[in-house]
Amino acid sequence: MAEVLENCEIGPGCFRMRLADANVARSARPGQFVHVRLPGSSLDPLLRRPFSVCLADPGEGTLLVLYQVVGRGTQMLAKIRPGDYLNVLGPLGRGFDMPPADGKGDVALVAGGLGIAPLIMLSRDLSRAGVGCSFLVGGRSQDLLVGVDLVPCAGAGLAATPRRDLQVVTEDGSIGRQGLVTDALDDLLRDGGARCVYACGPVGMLREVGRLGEAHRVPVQVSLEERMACGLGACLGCAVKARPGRGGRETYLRVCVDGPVFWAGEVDLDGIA
Amino acid sequence: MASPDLSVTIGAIRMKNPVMAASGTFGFGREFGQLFDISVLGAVVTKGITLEPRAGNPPPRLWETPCGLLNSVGLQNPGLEAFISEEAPRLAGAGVPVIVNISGDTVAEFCELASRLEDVAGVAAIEVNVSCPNIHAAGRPFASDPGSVYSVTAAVRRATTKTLIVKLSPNIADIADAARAAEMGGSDAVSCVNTFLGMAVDTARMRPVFARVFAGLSGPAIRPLALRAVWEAASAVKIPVVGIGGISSAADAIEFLLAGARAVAVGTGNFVSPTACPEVVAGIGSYLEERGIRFLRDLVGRAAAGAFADPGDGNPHGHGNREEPERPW
Ligand SMILES: Cc1cc2nc3c(=O)[nH]c(=O)nc-3n(C[C@H](O)[C@H](O)[C@H](O)COP(=O)(O)OP(=O)(O)OC[C@H]3O[C@@H](n4cnc5c(N)ncnc54)[C@H](O)[C@@H]3O)c2cc1C
Ligand SMILES: Cc1cc2nc3c(=O)[nH]c(=O)nc-3n(C[C@H](O)[C@H](O)[C@H](O)COP(=O)(O)O)c2cc1C
Ligand code: FES
Repeated sequence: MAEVLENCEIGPGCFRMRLADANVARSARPGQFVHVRLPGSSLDPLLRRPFSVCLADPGEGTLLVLYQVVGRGTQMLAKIRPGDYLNVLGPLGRGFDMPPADGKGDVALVAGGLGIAPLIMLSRDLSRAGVGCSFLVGGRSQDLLVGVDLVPCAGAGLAATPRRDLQVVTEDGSIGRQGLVTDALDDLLRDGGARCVYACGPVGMLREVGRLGEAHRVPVQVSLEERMACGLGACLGCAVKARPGRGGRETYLRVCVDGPVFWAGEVDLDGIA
Repeated sequence: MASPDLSVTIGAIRMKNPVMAASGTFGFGREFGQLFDISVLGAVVTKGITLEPRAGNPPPRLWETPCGLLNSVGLQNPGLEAFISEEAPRLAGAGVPVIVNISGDTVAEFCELASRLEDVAGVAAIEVNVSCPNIHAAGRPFASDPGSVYSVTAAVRRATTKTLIVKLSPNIADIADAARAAEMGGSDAVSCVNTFLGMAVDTARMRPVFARVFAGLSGPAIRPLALRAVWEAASAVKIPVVGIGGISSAADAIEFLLAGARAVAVGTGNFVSPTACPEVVAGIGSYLEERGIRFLRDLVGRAAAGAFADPGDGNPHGHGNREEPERPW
């Protein structure tokens, strides 16, 4: 059981939860997730809920999760108080592959909404490895841009003026560039500004990122979501269609163990609802 | 008191305790084997195997319901050859009886599966899944009528010397008839039950959630229904019944044992708590110990004592001296 150290609302319906779990904190890699049993040994809702590890601190033995209230399970989580305990399974899944060590140049991180969560830890580890990052953060409006203060390079927080290492894009233009985060990515790739792209967010955004990667011949990794039961690879419930191979036979991959991070070429992003 | 004896026998399988992992919820034991030593289980039932590999159904495959889970996985599996070469050798050394769940579209497919598993090391038993709701034999699963259950069972019985378990579907008018059909076909045991057919409609898309429309309901939501099915099956046959449906704790499992199940399997419960199976084993032990009951087998069917005329053969369900029934189909 993991003690909840903090659970506070950081935006409308958006929460940041800090948990004490030495094991997850020690072994989590960027892009991996934890599978959380809802409080009170809940049988209704029945299943665990998957959340990306946003930051893990092996020294403190803590991890951070960012989540949005979208249904009954996340409503229950929002009521948790510091000092309560949660049953946390993890870290699970295949995280992001670091860019090849011999490569030169920056990489791009593209976040849509809460999709920023796994990219925060990735950006920390990339900076530690000396890889330059352009972090593109998109959301509908300023109040829904949560977690940006956790990006290591963000310093004083949201930057209204574009910087190379952190660009903010909102659909309503309430802060940063107005438009879609993929517009900013298109510009960046046009300038040859990234040798690899990491993306997490709504599937429509991921499709567009995949398309841009193909157009600019830059490899793309995407973090996908699918409903999960076991989270361990045993139930085959979290299937996404694989990009048809040479034989053309239909096959499925499991988001929980083959992912949640995939190379865009591995999966059929167009086939995801 | 010495610690209670939890062992039970199903056909020729001697299980150290009555707790199995249910088919399709435990893969081939790999994933859960990383979390605990699966040799503490009474038996492991594999994901359903077909002759050829199957890709399974398109997503979504899962949908949560109150205390339950609808699934439409569609028998995704690597096929018999890959099972034999890639999974069976490891399972053979796992220190636990392995029950291979098989599925087919025709009687001939079931027989071929069973006979090709005959000489595979480490396979303790065959569980015939006549009830998967996600595939169709001439439009409906075999399990939907007792006559087909009988013919599949009898044919597979001739194809294998291994312990044979027939897994029954609850999507049938009278599960007791299906259990009797399996018994007459020569099955060593029946498992009760597979998932209940259900469905869900996505109100945002105004369409059924699943591509195949119907899906299988499992989890605590079906427990009272499964329990009734086990009671009815155990009352109808002499062969042992494996109780399945919504079991997630030792108390749930004990309910099934008292109702007449000689063993139980945990399915969806594994997803909620990945250590559910070993917890159920430990909890059953404590229950017996607290009550000074030495043998688990003394628990089996105890809730039925007096509910039926006791034939005096120790089977409280009272069918011991029953006449062989006419085939009702
Ligand atoms: C690998 C992975 C990592 C994730 N990381 C995060 C994260 O860091 N922060 C975060 O807020 N959310 C994350 N999610 C999504 C999160 O799991 C769901 O939002 C949550 O399970 C919803 O639970 P609920 O009971 O509140 O909603 P429900 O009542 O179950 O559903 C409400 C809505 O959420 C959608 N939903 C439900 N389950 C999932 C799911 N597994 N994947 C996608 N959509 C779902 C439903 O379609 C529905 O629209 C992640 C999902 C996956 C698979
Ligand atoms: C995801 C999933 C996959 C399943 N796959 C199979 C299968 O391949 N063969 C089979 O006989 N039963 C299969 N079942 C049925 C279970 O073995 C079990 O009979 C059923 O789920 C009821 O038990 P439960 O409520 O404990 O889950 C599956 C169930 C689930 C939830
Ligand atoms: S959630 Fe069970 S296999 Fe992925």
